[in-house]
Amino acid sequence: MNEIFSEITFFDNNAFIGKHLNPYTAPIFNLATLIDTMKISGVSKSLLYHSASVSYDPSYGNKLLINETKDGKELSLVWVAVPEHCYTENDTELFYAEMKRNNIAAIKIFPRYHNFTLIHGAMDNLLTLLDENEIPLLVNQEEISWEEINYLLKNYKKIPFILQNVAYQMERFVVPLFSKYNNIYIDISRYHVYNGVEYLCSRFGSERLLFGSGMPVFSPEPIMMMINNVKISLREKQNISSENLLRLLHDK
Amino acid sequence: MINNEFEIIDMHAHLGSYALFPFRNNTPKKIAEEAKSYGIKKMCVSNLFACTYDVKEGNLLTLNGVKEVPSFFLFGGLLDPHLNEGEIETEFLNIDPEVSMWNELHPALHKYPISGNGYKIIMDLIKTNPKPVLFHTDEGDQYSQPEQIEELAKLYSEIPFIIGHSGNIIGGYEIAVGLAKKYDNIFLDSTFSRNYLGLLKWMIEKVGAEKITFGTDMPFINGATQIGKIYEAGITDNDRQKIFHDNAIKLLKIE
Repeated sequence: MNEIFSEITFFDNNAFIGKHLNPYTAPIFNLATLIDTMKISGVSKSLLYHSASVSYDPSYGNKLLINETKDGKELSLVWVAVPEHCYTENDTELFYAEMKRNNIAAIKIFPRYHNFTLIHGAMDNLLTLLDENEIPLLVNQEEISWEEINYLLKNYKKIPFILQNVAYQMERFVVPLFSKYNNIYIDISRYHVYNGVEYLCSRFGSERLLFGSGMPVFSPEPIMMMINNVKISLREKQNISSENLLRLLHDK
Repeated sequence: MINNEFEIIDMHAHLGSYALFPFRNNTPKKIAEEAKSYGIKKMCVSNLFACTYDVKEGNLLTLNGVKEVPSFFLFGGLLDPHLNEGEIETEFLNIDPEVSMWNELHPALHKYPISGNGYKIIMDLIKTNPKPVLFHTDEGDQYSQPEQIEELAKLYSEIPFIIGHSGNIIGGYEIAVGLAKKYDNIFLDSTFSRNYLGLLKWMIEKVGAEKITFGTDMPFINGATQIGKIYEAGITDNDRQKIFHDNAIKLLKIE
């Protein structure tokens, strides 16, 4: 473990394995590479999906994730869902049963890339189950409109909704959402604005911010260094670095 | 806290406010206090008023800010290529004695291309007393593409040019690296807001750590984040010493 970050445990909410578009690291970021990078940087655990679930086929990529992470101990798995997984209640129940069988900890959706919108109910069957079971839903900021976020949070009040890749300039969007809804959390892998974490903690507490790296696209060290140095208490740093995510995943 | 054994000199930071999102705790004293807590010993700043509204008033605000913590801040001067030749010269002569470097000439916010004649007028003045020139660059912006610096680097070989944000996006980084490799007087800037895994290590492999300067871009970005990227795996302490400190000492001619 990197001695610089020795006081805090880091549980990464935002990582994936597979092919990616970062030209400055190995073109296929497999599990071994991820685990090596985690060890070197001092990340203890990761919540991850497979990039083939995004770029090729969600169901195929979800299977790859299961096959390629059999040896991974410090991992929590995320499946990517699309509307055809939940067109009917029967489809939804089958998908959910597979999720449980494979110990899937969270669901991620890519509405823009996968050509759908949440507003017309395309994912409602699955969202209802996630809501009932308080299973986290992950979405990248650039993949969802603010109207869809409102729809989601207004109709599903128990889903822990994790907005990922939130850019550092986005305070004017984040603060109203935090003020209005209690079940929205943000990944701070790209929220490295000056005094931004301190400000959100002072207004809303530290419970809604989650450490993320963005690996293999982005590097974990910058955000780890930020968390280590923000002017908040050690308890708050521990919440952000790992405790909040553990709580949302029911300590899985 | 950072167990940082390096003395850090920040060559790219600001004072003031910005319209697109709020800065918090952004008084000169607060920024200095925050930066010092990371181990930063000197910080070159310019007030964003000079980039976004009025360059003369902005330079004055910078100077006033620098005077609040004079042992810590260095004055980053701004010049506006839109002004006529006489106005540019007057402002240059007015501030040059106080200026440590020209930081951050901002073609994107001034909406004036690096390749435009106004910047040649500016460089003609700067070459009379050469100090480092840090240009904001962004390959995605028509005014501030890093390749536009090449002509200036050839014409003004006595001026060290720093490619701010190193081109800022994939594609831009490659152009910036190519220029830093080709010209002795072109340097890269570690202040890019997208912290791609392996990017800095790749830059060091391509051009050497002696061609990369350090910046935080505070109060846009959390300074510890910028320091953290220099701690990415595969970067040696020798590289860190150059990026955090030695390169700046040479360029700024300070002790």
